[in-house]
Amino acid sequence: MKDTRNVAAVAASKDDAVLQWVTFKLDHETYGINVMQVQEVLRYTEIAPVPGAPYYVLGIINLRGNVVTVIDTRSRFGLQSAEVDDSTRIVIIEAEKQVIGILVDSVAEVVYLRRSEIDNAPNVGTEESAKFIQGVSNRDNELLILVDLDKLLSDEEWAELTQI
Amino acid sequence: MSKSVDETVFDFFALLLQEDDAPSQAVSPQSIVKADSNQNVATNQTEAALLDAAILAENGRTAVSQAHERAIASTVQVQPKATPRQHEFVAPVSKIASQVDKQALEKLLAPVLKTKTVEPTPSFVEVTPTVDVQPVVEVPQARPVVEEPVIDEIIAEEVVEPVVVPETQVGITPPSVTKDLQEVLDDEFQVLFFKVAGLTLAVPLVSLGGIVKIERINHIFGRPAWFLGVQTHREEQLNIVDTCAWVMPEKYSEKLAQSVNYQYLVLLEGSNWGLTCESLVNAVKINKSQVNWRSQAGKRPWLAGVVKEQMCGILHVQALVEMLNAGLGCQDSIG
Repeated sequence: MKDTRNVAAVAASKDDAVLQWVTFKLDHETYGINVMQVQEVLRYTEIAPVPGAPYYVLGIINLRGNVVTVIDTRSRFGLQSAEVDDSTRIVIIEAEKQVIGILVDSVAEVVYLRRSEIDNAPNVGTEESAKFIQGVSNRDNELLILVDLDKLLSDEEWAELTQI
Repeated sequence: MSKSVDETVFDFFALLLQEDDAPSQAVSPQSIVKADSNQNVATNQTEAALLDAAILAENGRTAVSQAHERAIASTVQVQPKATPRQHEFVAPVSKIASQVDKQALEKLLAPVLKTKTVEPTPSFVEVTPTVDVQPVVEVPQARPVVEEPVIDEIIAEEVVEPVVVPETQVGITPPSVTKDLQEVLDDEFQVLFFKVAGLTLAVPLVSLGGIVKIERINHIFGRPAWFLGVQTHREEQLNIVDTCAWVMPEKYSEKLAQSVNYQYLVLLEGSNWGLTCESLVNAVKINKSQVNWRSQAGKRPWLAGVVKEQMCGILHVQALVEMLNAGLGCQDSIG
């Protein structure tokens, strides 16, 4: 009996995989992105604007000889812009086979979440940005909004980034 | 038997002429004179005819055949002595004439030969095959060009019609307006009055899921303006509706939004939706007759009726929840 219980528990744990999420703050809300897509976190450095770039592109930075496009996350999420301060960070991520940076208010921590702890976001979104949210999770009475980085931009927009 | 002076002179010239043409032949003077007289006439005629034919062959091809025929006719009359010279002339002229004819024929037959048609009757063959081939090629090209757009239009019409109909049905789907609210309620039932930006609303207690104080609202982007966010309550997420923005969006200005001070959430029974309110007035027992019930759903199915004494709307919670679940705003239900 014990063996069967253990097997069932292992199977259940396999289905309920633990995922790691890097959390960051944006307009007093906590967001999480898959840790496997995060390459590094940079302090804010000067971002060179690109003329004619889409509205959600802040500009480009030189990351050890590589040009990286930085996305204005607040603008992309439909939030009001904010001043850069000491806690502002650029999170270098890889999505859709491209390396980009996203500007966030601050980076908090890495949290562990079971798949079962992730709930669906309220399905009342009609805007384009509604699809960015992969799900939500309650953690210490705080709502964590999980972002699907691959859907952060549309296919056309990802292709447009390569032209910058 | 002596010859006259004239005859002697004639013979002398005849000998001179004969030595140039056939010096080795020994013929008697008389026979020579007769024969040469005939022969010279014939050769002179043939040479002139051949020269004319050659000139004509170069200048014009129509006279070639006639000169050629004349030359051949004259050569037939010529005696065997003169044949070698005549052959030397006749042969090249006939060759030239035949070459000219062949070239002309080849030019005329060139288009015909390309199409691999029958060789004879070149002038007619040239025209008819080209005329026959071109329409044969053009007709099959024209047919598909005309037919393809017709097929596309038919397909487009067939595809568009079924797509449009379900979309409009889904988008317009009005929440089911129930008449069963009155059936659920007793003759006397309790209602809770609450206020939002000066507007009083009533909710039957049987449809009230609870009252929760607003603490921490998590804003989620990409949602409608009337969706304030979510709040965690007993390990569950409550979806918070900006009641003022939802009920009267036409009056919900930026100024009004800043002035409202939401304190509580009025939870809707059987859902995780909560309506924000600034204050709770009271809960009273009223009679069905005190409510002016709406007989038809109209444009606002979420409104069950009006409480006559308080002059405030009473909510139809089930319809309201259906609308919120569908992501519809107050105005979205209209139409």
